[in-house]
Amino acid sequence: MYELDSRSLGPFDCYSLRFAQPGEHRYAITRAGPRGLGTDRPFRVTVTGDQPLRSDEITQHNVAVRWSTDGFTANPAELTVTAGDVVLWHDHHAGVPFEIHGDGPIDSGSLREQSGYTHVFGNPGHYTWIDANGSGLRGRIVVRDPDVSRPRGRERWLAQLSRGHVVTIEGDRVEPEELEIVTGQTVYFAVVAAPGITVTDESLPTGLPAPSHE
Amino acid sequence: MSEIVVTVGETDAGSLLGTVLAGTGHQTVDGTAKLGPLDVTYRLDATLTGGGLDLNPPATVRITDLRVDYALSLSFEFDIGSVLPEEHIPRVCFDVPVIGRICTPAIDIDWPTIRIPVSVTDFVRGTAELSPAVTLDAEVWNVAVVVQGVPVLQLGPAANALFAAIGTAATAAVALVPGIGPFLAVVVAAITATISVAAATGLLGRLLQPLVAGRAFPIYRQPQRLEIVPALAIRLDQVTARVDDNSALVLAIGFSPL
Repeated sequence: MYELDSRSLGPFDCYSLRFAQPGEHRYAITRAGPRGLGTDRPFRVTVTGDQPLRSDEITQHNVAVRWSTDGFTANPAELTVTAGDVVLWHDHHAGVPFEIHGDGPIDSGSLREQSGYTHVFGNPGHYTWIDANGSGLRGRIVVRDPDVSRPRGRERWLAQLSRGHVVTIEGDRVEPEELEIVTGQTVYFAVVAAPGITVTDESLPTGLPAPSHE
Repeated sequence: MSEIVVTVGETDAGSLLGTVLAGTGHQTVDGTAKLGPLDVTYRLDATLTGGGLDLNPPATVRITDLRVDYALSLSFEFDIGSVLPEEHIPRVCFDVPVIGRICTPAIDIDWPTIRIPVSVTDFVRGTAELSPAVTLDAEVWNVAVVVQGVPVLQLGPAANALFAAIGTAATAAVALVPGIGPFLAVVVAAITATISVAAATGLLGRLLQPLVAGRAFPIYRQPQRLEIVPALAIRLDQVTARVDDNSALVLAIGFSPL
Protein backbone atom coordinates (compact mmCIF):
# COMPACT_ATOMS: atom_id res chain seq x y z
CA MET A 1 0.00 0.00 0.00
CA TYR A 2 1.12 3.54 -0.53
CA GLU A 3 -0.45 5.72 2.07
CA LEU A 4 -0.02 9.00 3.83
CA ASP A 5 1.11 7.70 7.20
CA SER A 6 4.35 8.53 8.96
CA ARG A 7 3.99 5.27 10.90
CA SER A 8 4.37 3.33 7.67
CA LEU A 9 7.15 4.60 5.43
CA GLY A 10 6.68 3.60 1.81
CA PRO A 11 8.06 4.36 -1.64
CA PHE A 12 9.92 7.68 -1.71
CA ASP A 13 8.91 8.49 1.89
CA CYS A 14 11.59 9.95 4.14
CA TYR A 15 11.99 10.38 7.86
CA SER A 16 14.39 13.01 9.13
CA LEU A 17 15.72 13.88 12.53
CA ARG A 18 18.07 16.56 13.77
CA PHE A 19 20.35 15.30 16.50
CA ALA A 20 20.91 18.17 18.92
CA GLN A 21 22.84 16.40 21.65
CA PRO A 22 25.92 14.19 21.56
CA GLY A 23 25.48 10.53 22.33
CA GLU A 24 25.05 7.14 20.77
CA HIS A 25 21.71 6.10 19.41
CA ARG A 26 20.97 2.54 18.36
CA TYR A 27 17.91 1.83 16.30
CA ALA A 28 15.97 -0.78 14.39
CA ILE A 29 14.05 -0.76 11.13
CA THR A 30 10.98 -2.98 11.28
CA ARG A 31 7.89 -3.65 9.29
CA ALA A 32 5.22 -1.08 9.90
CA GLY A 33 2.60 -2.22 12.36
CA PRO A 34 2.52 -3.39 15.95
CA ARG A 35 6.03 -3.57 17.35
CA GLY A 36 7.23 -6.85 18.80
CA LEU A 37 9.16 -7.28 21.98
CA GLY A 38 12.51 -7.64 20.21
CA THR A 39 15.32 -5.45 21.46
CA ASP A 40 17.67 -5.93 18.53
CA ARG A 41 18.84 -2.55 17.32
CA PRO A 42 21.49 -3.26 14.72
CA PHE A 43 22.00 0.24 13.39
CA ARG A 44 23.69 3.20 15.05
CA VAL A 45 24.01 6.96 14.87
CA THR A 46 26.83 8.42 16.93
CA VAL A 47 26.61 12.13 17.62
CA THR A 48 29.81 13.97 18.49
CA GLY A 49 30.55 17.54 19.53
CA ASP A 50 28.64 19.60 21.97
CA GLN A 51 28.16 22.92 20.27
CA PRO A 52 24.85 23.37 18.48
CA LEU A 53 25.49 24.35 14.89
CA ARG A 54 24.12 27.35 13.11
CA SER A 55 21.63 26.41 10.45
CA ASP A 56 24.10 27.22 7.67
CA GLU A 57 26.58 24.78 9.23
CA ILE A 58 24.21 21.85 9.43
CA THR A 59 25.12 18.83 7.37
CA GLN A 60 22.55 16.41 6.05
CA HIS A 61 23.36 12.70 6.13
CA ASN A 62 21.29 10.26 4.11
CA VAL A 63 20.59 6.65 5.06
CA ALA A 64 19.08 4.37 2.42
CA VAL A 65 16.70 1.70 3.67
CA ARG A 66 16.45 -1.53 1.72
CA TRP A 67 14.63 -4.79 2.19
CA SER A 68 16.06 -8.25 1.61
CA THR A 69 15.11 -11.72 2.71
CA ASP A 70 17.25 -11.16 5.79
CA GLY A 71 15.27 -8.10 6.76
CA PHE A 72 15.80 -4.38 6.48
CA THR A 73 19.21 -2.88 5.99
CA ALA A 74 20.42 0.65 6.50
CA ASN A 75 23.16 2.06 4.35
CA PRO A 76 25.30 3.17 6.07
CA ALA A 77 24.48 0.97 9.02
CA GLU A 78 26.62 3.10 11.31
CA LEU A 79 26.92 6.82 11.01
CA THR A 80 28.83 9.47 12.92
CA VAL A 81 27.47 12.98 12.78
CA THR A 82 28.05 16.29 14.52
CA ALA A 83 25.56 17.58 17.05
CA GLY A 84 23.08 19.67 15.14
CA ASP A 85 23.30 17.61 11.96
CA VAL A 86 20.30 16.08 10.25
CA VAL A 87 19.92 12.41 9.32
CA LEU A 88 17.40 11.56 6.63
CA TRP A 89 16.29 7.95 6.14
CA HIS A 90 14.76 7.25 2.78
CA ASP A 91 13.10 4.29 1.18
CA HIS A 92 15.34 2.85 -1.50
CA HIS A 93 13.12 0.33 -3.28
CA ALA A 94 12.42 -1.36 0.04
CA GLY A 95 9.05 -2.47 -1.24
CA VAL A 96 7.82 -3.17 2.28
CA PRO A 97 6.38 -0.46 4.53
CA PHE A 98 8.61 0.14 7.52
CA GLU A 99 9.24 2.30 10.54
CA ILE A 100 12.37 3.39 12.32
CA HIS A 101 12.63 3.39 16.09
CA GLY A 102 15.31 3.19 18.72
CA ASP A 103 17.08 5.04 21.47
CA GLY A 104 16.33 8.61 22.33
CA PRO A 105 14.57 10.69 19.78
CA ILE A 106 14.60 8.15 16.92
CA ASP A 107 11.00 7.21 16.23
CA SER A 108 9.32 7.70 12.85
CA GLY A 109 6.02 6.66 14.37
CA SER A 110 6.11 9.44 16.92
CA LEU A 111 7.45 12.69 15.50
CA ARG A 112 9.00 15.02 18.02
CA GLU A 113 11.27 18.02 18.09
CA GLN A 114 13.04 18.82 14.84
CA SER A 115 11.95 15.73 13.03
CA GLY A 116 10.17 15.41 9.73
CA TYR A 117 8.31 13.17 7.34
CA THR A 118 8.11 13.54 3.58
CA HIS A 119 5.50 11.99 1.35
CA VAL A 120 5.04 12.04 -2.40
CA PHE A 121 1.37 12.35 -3.29
CA GLY A 122 0.73 10.01 -6.17
CA ASN A 123 -3.01 10.27 -6.57
CA PRO A 124 -5.31 13.23 -6.88
CA GLY A 125 -7.77 13.86 -4.12
CA HIS A 126 -8.41 15.63 -0.86
CA TYR A 127 -6.30 14.26 1.97
CA THR A 128 -7.16 15.21 5.51
CA TRP A 129 -4.35 14.19 7.81
CA ILE A 130 -4.59 13.81 11.55
CA ASP A 131 -2.36 12.85 14.42
CA ALA A 132 -3.13 9.20 15.07
CA ASN A 133 -1.77 9.67 18.58
CA GLY A 134 -4.71 11.89 19.37
CA SER A 135 -3.30 15.39 19.79
CA GLY A 136 -6.03 16.87 17.61
CA LEU A 137 -3.57 18.26 15.08
CA ARG A 138 -4.87 18.08 11.54
CA GLY A 139 -4.50 19.59 8.13
CA ARG A 140 -5.50 19.11 4.52
CA ILE A 141 -3.62 18.50 1.30
CA VAL A 142 -5.47 18.99 -1.96
CA VAL A 143 -3.83 17.11 -4.82
CA ARG A 144 -4.85 17.95 -8.34
CA ASP A 145 -3.89 16.11 -11.49
CA PRO A 146 -1.75 18.12 -13.87
CA ASP A 147 -2.75 18.48 -17.48
CA VAL A 148 -0.21 16.21 -19.13
CA SER A 149 -2.08 15.77 -22.38
CA ARG A 150 0.34 18.06 -24.22
CA PRO A 151 4.14 18.08 -24.14
CA ARG A 152 4.26 21.60 -22.71
CA GLY A 153 1.98 20.63 -19.83
CA ARG A 154 4.10 17.58 -19.19
CA GLU A 155 7.28 19.66 -19.06
CA ARG A 156 5.64 22.10 -16.67
CA TRP A 157 4.54 19.20 -14.46
CA LEU A 158 8.01 17.64 -14.45
CA ALA A 159 9.47 20.96 -13.33
CA GLN A 160 6.90 21.13 -10.55
CA LEU A 161 8.04 17.76 -9.21
CA SER A 162 11.29 19.31 -8.05
CA ARG A 163 9.50 21.97 -6.03
CA GLY A 164 8.71 20.82 -2.53
CA HIS A 165 6.18 22.17 -0.06
CA VAL A 166 6.59 22.42 3.69
CA VAL A 167 3.93 22.04 6.36
CA THR A 168 5.29 23.26 9.69
CA ILE A 169 3.97 21.78 12.92
CA GLU A 170 4.83 23.54 16.14
CA GLY A 171 2.91 22.85 19.32
CA ASP A 172 -0.74 23.02 18.40
CA ARG A 173 -0.16 25.04 15.23
CA VAL A 174 -0.08 23.78 11.67
CA GLU A 175 1.06 26.12 8.93
CA PRO A 176 -0.42 26.02 6.35
CA GLU A 177 -3.50 24.11 7.42
CA GLU A 178 -4.42 23.54 3.80
CA LEU A 179 -2.06 23.12 0.89
CA GLU A 180 -2.74 22.60 -2.79
CA ILE A 181 -0.26 20.68 -4.92
CA VAL A 182 -0.19 18.63 -8.11
CA THR A 183 0.14 14.87 -8.36
CA GLY A 184 3.68 13.66 -7.79
CA GLN A 185 4.78 16.59 -5.65
CA THR A 186 6.42 16.06 -2.28
CA VAL A 187 5.34 17.57 1.02
CA TYR A 188 7.69 17.82 3.98
CA PHE A 189 5.89 17.75 7.32
CA ALA A 190 8.40 19.58 9.51
CA VAL A 191 7.84 19.02 13.19
CA VAL A 192 9.53 21.91 15.01
CA ALA A 193 8.13 20.87 18.37
CA ALA A 194 5.45 18.33 19.24
CA PRO A 195 4.82 15.74 21.92
CA GLY A 196 5.13 12.77 19.56
CA ILE A 197 2.70 12.91 16.71
CA THR A 198 1.96 11.12 13.47
CA VAL A 199 0.87 12.39 10.08
CA THR A 200 -1.82 9.94 9.12
CA ASP A 201 -4.52 9.97 6.47
CA GLU A 202 -7.81 10.41 8.31
CA SER A 203 -9.31 7.46 6.43
CA LEU A 204 -6.74 5.03 7.84
CA PRO A 205 -7.17 3.19 11.14
CA THR A 206 -5.52 5.24 13.85
CA GLY A 207 -5.06 2.50 16.39
CA LEU A 208 -6.70 4.73 18.97
CA PRO A 209 -9.47 3.26 21.14
CA ALA A 210 -12.93 4.08 19.88
CA PRO A 211 -14.55 6.98 21.71
CA SER A 212 -16.77 5.80 24.56
CA HIS A 213 -20.41 6.79 24.57
CA GLU A 214 -21.63 6.99 28.11
CA MET B 1 -37.29 -17.98 -74.23
CA SER B 2 -39.77 -18.64 -71.44
CA GLU B 3 -39.56 -17.09 -68.02
CA ILE B 4 -40.12 -18.10 -64.43
CA VAL B 5 -40.71 -15.32 -61.95
CA VAL B 6 -40.07 -15.95 -58.28
CA THR B 7 -41.29 -13.34 -55.86
CA VAL B 8 -40.14 -13.25 -52.27
CA GLY B 9 -41.99 -10.87 -49.95
CA GLU B 10 -40.24 -8.69 -47.42
CA THR B 11 -41.04 -11.00 -44.50
CA ASP B 12 -39.78 -14.10 -46.22
CA ALA B 13 -36.75 -12.22 -47.53
CA GLY B 14 -35.98 -11.21 -43.95
CA SER B 15 -36.12 -14.84 -42.84
CA LEU B 16 -33.93 -15.79 -45.76
CA LEU B 17 -31.39 -13.11 -44.89
CA GLY B 18 -31.37 -14.18 -41.24
CA THR B 19 -30.53 -17.70 -42.33
CA VAL B 20 -27.84 -16.41 -44.65
CA LEU B 21 -26.25 -14.25 -41.95
CA ALA B 22 -26.34 -17.08 -39.45
CA GLY B 23 -24.53 -19.18 -41.99
CA THR B 24 -21.68 -16.75 -42.29
CA GLY B 25 -20.42 -17.90 -38.89
CA HIS B 26 -17.50 -16.41 -37.05
CA GLN B 27 -15.00 -14.18 -38.70
CA THR B 28 -11.54 -13.89 -37.21
CA VAL B 29 -8.97 -11.35 -38.27
CA ASP B 30 -5.69 -10.30 -36.74
CA GLY B 31 -2.91 -7.91 -37.56
CA THR B 32 -1.53 -4.55 -36.62
CA ALA B 33 -3.21 -1.16 -36.63
CA LYS B 34 -2.87 2.35 -35.31
CA LEU B 35 -4.51 3.44 -32.09
CA GLY B 36 -3.87 7.16 -32.18
CA PRO B 37 -0.08 7.39 -32.42
CA LEU B 38 0.42 3.90 -31.00
CA ASP B 39 0.93 0.68 -32.92
CA VAL B 40 -1.29 -2.12 -31.68
CA THR B 41 -1.51 -5.79 -32.48
CA TYR B 42 -5.01 -7.16 -32.44
CA ARG B 43 -7.18 -10.18 -32.87
CA LEU B 44 -10.84 -9.78 -33.62
CA ASP B 45 -13.59 -12.41 -33.53
CA ALA B 46 -16.89 -11.21 -34.89
CA THR B 47 -20.33 -12.53 -35.70
CA LEU B 48 -23.01 -10.80 -37.77
CA THR B 49 -26.68 -11.07 -36.99
CA GLY B 50 -29.41 -9.46 -39.00
CA GLY B 51 -32.09 -7.08 -37.93
CA GLY B 52 -34.93 -5.70 -39.97
CA LEU B 53 -35.04 -5.76 -43.75
CA ASP B 54 -36.30 -3.04 -46.03
CA LEU B 55 -36.72 -3.71 -49.73
CA ASN B 56 -36.82 -0.57 -51.82
CA PRO B 57 -37.29 -0.51 -55.59
CA PRO B 58 -35.57 -0.76 -57.89
CA ALA B 59 -32.66 -2.54 -56.30
CA THR B 60 -31.96 -1.63 -52.70
CA VAL B 61 -31.99 -4.08 -49.83
CA ARG B 62 -31.41 -2.31 -46.52
CA ILE B 63 -30.57 -4.22 -43.37
CA THR B 64 -31.45 -2.13 -40.36
CA ASP B 65 -30.28 -3.00 -36.89
CA LEU B 66 -27.47 -5.10 -38.25
CA ARG B 67 -25.53 -6.28 -35.23
CA VAL B 68 -21.83 -7.10 -35.10
CA ASP B 69 -20.87 -8.95 -31.92
CA TYR B 70 -17.13 -9.00 -31.41
CA ALA B 71 -14.38 -9.95 -29.02
CA LEU B 72 -11.37 -7.71 -29.49
CA SER B 73 -7.98 -8.43 -27.95
CA LEU B 74 -5.28 -5.90 -28.54
CA SER B 75 -2.01 -4.98 -26.98
CA PHE B 76 0.37 -2.10 -27.33
CA GLU B 77 3.62 -0.93 -25.84
CA PHE B 78 4.06 2.27 -23.92
CA ASP B 79 7.38 3.79 -22.87
CA ILE B 80 6.86 5.16 -19.38
CA GLY B 81 10.09 7.09 -19.79
CA SER B 82 8.29 9.22 -22.37
CA VAL B 83 6.11 10.60 -19.58
CA LEU B 84 8.23 10.49 -16.45
CA PRO B 85 11.74 11.78 -15.84
CA GLU B 86 13.95 9.28 -17.60
CA GLU B 87 16.81 9.24 -15.15
CA HIS B 88 15.40 9.64 -11.67
CA ILE B 89 12.86 10.83 -9.23
CA PRO B 90 14.12 14.37 -8.82
CA ARG B 91 15.81 15.72 -5.75
CA VAL B 92 13.39 17.90 -3.83
CA CYS B 93 14.59 20.56 -1.40
CA PHE B 94 12.76 22.26 1.43
CA ASP B 95 13.55 25.27 3.54
CA VAL B 96 12.67 24.06 6.99
CA PRO B 97 12.32 26.38 9.99
CA VAL B 98 15.20 26.22 12.49
CA ILE B 99 17.02 23.51 10.56
CA GLY B 100 17.55 25.12 7.21
CA ARG B 101 17.62 23.34 3.88
CA ILE B 102 16.81 19.65 3.64
CA CYS B 103 16.74 17.71 0.40
CA THR B 104 15.37 14.30 -0.45
CA PRO B 105 17.74 12.26 -2.59
CA ALA B 106 17.23 11.76 -6.28
CA ILE B 107 16.42 8.15 -6.99
CA ASP B 108 17.48 6.47 -10.19
CA ILE B 109 14.78 4.48 -11.86
CA ASP B 110 15.00 3.14 -15.38
CA TRP B 111 11.39 3.34 -16.41
CA PRO B 112 10.48 0.39 -18.58
CA THR B 113 8.47 0.07 -21.73
CA ILE B 114 5.42 -1.93 -20.77
CA ARG B 115 3.00 -4.00 -22.81
CA ILE B 116 -0.64 -3.26 -22.13
CA PRO B 117 -3.10 -6.00 -23.05
CA VAL B 118 -6.73 -5.02 -23.53
CA SER B 119 -9.68 -7.35 -23.99
CA VAL B 120 -13.17 -6.16 -24.66
CA THR B 121 -16.34 -7.99 -25.70
CA ASP B 122 -19.05 -5.78 -27.09
CA PHE B 123 -21.27 -5.19 -30.09
CA VAL B 124 -22.14 -2.42 -32.51
CA ARG B 125 -25.31 -1.87 -34.44
CA GLY B 126 -25.63 -0.35 -37.82
CA THR B 127 -27.30 -0.14 -41.17
CA ALA B 128 -26.05 -1.63 -44.39
CA GLU B 129 -27.39 -1.10 -47.87
CA LEU B 130 -27.13 -3.97 -50.30
CA SER B 131 -27.95 -4.56 -53.92
CA PRO B 132 -28.80 -7.81 -55.66
CA ALA B 133 -26.01 -9.12 -57.83
CA VAL B 134 -26.25 -11.99 -60.29
CA THR B 135 -23.26 -13.83 -61.71
CA LEU B 136 -22.78 -16.92 -63.84
CA ASP B 137 -19.66 -18.80 -62.85
CA ALA B 138 -18.73 -22.18 -64.28
CA GLU B 139 -22.29 -22.72 -65.51
CA VAL B 140 -23.74 -21.99 -62.13
CA TRP B 141 -26.01 -19.03 -61.47
CA ASN B 142 -25.33 -17.20 -58.23
CA VAL B 143 -27.61 -14.57 -56.80
CA ALA B 144 -26.34 -12.62 -53.84
CA VAL B 145 -26.99 -9.35 -52.11
CA VAL B 146 -23.82 -7.27 -51.86
CA VAL B 147 -23.16 -4.54 -49.31
CA GLN B 148 -22.74 -1.22 -51.07
CA GLY B 149 -20.26 1.33 -49.77
CA VAL B 150 -19.30 1.61 -46.12
CA PRO B 151 -21.92 0.52 -43.60
CA VAL B 152 -23.02 3.02 -41.01
CA LEU B 153 -22.02 1.49 -37.69
CA GLN B 154 -22.85 3.17 -34.40
CA LEU B 155 -19.35 3.15 -32.95
CA GLY B 156 -19.74 5.73 -30.21
CA PRO B 157 -20.81 3.56 -27.25
CA ALA B 158 -18.39 0.81 -28.24
CA ALA B 159 -15.52 3.30 -28.51
CA ASN B 160 -16.29 4.60 -25.03
CA ALA B 161 -16.29 1.01 -23.73
CA LEU B 162 -12.98 0.30 -25.46
CA PHE B 163 -11.49 3.51 -24.10
CA ALA B 164 -12.60 2.61 -20.57
CA ALA B 165 -11.15 -0.88 -20.99
CA ILE B 166 -7.85 0.63 -22.09
CA GLY B 167 -7.80 2.82 -18.98
CA THR B 168 -8.46 -0.17 -16.75
CA ALA B 169 -5.86 -2.31 -18.48
CA ALA B 170 -3.31 0.51 -18.39
CA THR B 171 -3.87 0.99 -14.67
CA ALA B 172 -3.33 -2.71 -14.03
CA ALA B 173 -0.21 -2.86 -16.19
CA VAL B 174 1.37 0.33 -14.91
CA ALA B 175 0.69 -0.64 -11.29
CA LEU B 176 3.12 -3.54 -11.69
CA VAL B 177 6.04 -1.24 -12.42
CA PRO B 178 8.33 -1.02 -9.38
CA GLY B 179 8.51 2.45 -7.92
CA ILE B 180 5.61 3.79 -9.94
CA GLY B 181 3.49 4.48 -6.83
CA PRO B 182 3.34 8.27 -6.82
CA PHE B 183 3.11 8.51 -10.57
CA LEU B 184 0.57 5.85 -11.36
CA ALA B 185 -2.32 8.21 -11.93
CA VAL B 186 -0.28 10.57 -14.10
CA VAL B 187 1.08 7.79 -16.29
CA VAL B 188 -2.40 6.36 -16.83
CA ALA B 189 -3.69 9.85 -17.58
CA ALA B 190 -0.89 10.33 -20.08
CA ILE B 191 -1.67 7.01 -21.79
CA THR B 192 -5.37 7.74 -22.10
CA ALA B 193 -4.60 11.29 -23.23
CA THR B 194 -2.32 9.86 -25.91
CA ILE B 195 -5.05 7.62 -27.21
CA SER B 196 -8.36 9.54 -26.91
CA VAL B 197 -11.88 8.32 -27.61
CA ALA B 198 -11.57 9.54 -31.20
CA ALA B 199 -8.67 7.15 -31.76
CA ALA B 200 -10.67 4.29 -30.25
CA THR B 201 -13.53 5.16 -32.59
CA GLY B 202 -11.17 5.22 -35.55
CA LEU B 203 -9.66 1.87 -34.66
CA LEU B 204 -13.04 0.20 -34.26
CA GLY B 205 -14.20 1.64 -37.55
CA ARG B 206 -11.13 0.35 -39.35
CA LEU B 207 -11.54 -3.11 -37.84
CA LEU B 208 -15.29 -3.60 -37.92
CA GLN B 209 -16.42 -1.88 -41.10
CA PRO B 210 -14.42 -4.17 -43.41
CA LEU B 211 -16.25 -7.12 -41.89
CA VAL B 212 -19.38 -5.80 -43.53
CA ALA B 213 -18.29 -3.50 -46.36
CA GLY B 214 -18.35 -5.08 -49.82
CA ARG B 215 -19.57 -8.32 -48.37
CA ALA B 216 -21.79 -10.58 -50.50
CA PHE B 217 -24.46 -12.78 -48.97
CA PRO B 218 -25.49 -15.60 -51.32
CA ILE B 219 -29.22 -16.22 -51.47
CA TYR B 220 -29.67 -18.42 -54.56
CA ARG B 221 -27.42 -20.83 -56.37
CA GLN B 222 -28.49 -22.94 -59.29
CA PRO B 223 -26.61 -24.87 -62.04
CA GLN B 224 -27.45 -23.53 -65.45
CA ARG B 225 -28.73 -26.96 -66.51
CA LEU B 226 -31.80 -27.86 -64.54
CA GLU B 227 -33.26 -31.34 -64.84
CA ILE B 228 -37.02 -31.22 -64.38
CA VAL B 229 -37.57 -34.98 -64.65
CA PRO B 230 -35.27 -37.67 -66.05
CA ALA B 231 -34.74 -37.03 -69.74
CA LEU B 232 -36.25 -33.54 -69.48
CA ALA B 233 -33.94 -30.69 -68.75
CA ILE B 234 -33.97 -26.98 -69.31
CA ARG B 235 -31.27 -24.42 -69.60
CA LEU B 236 -31.43 -21.29 -67.47
CA ASP B 237 -30.42 -18.66 -69.96
CA GLN B 238 -30.77 -15.55 -67.87
CA VAL B 239 -31.34 -14.63 -64.23
CA THR B 240 -32.16 -11.13 -63.02
CA ALA B 241 -32.91 -9.86 -59.57
CA ARG B 242 -34.66 -6.66 -58.54
CA VAL B 243 -36.97 -5.16 -55.98
CA ASP B 244 -40.43 -4.45 -57.28
CA ASP B 245 -42.89 -1.76 -56.35
CA ASN B 246 -44.50 -4.04 -53.78
CA SER B 247 -41.25 -4.31 -51.83
CA ALA B 248 -40.70 -7.86 -52.93
CA LEU B 249 -37.50 -9.41 -54.13
CA VAL B 250 -38.11 -10.67 -57.65
CA LEU B 251 -36.03 -13.26 -59.45
CA ALA B 252 -36.79 -13.53 -63.14
CA ILE B 253 -35.36 -16.68 -64.72
CA GLY B 254 -35.40 -17.02 -68.47
CA PHE B 255 -35.07 -20.62 -69.76
CA SER B 256 -35.17 -22.71 -72.89
CA PRO B 257 -35.55 -26.45 -73.42
CA LEU B 258 -32.46 -28.55 -74.01
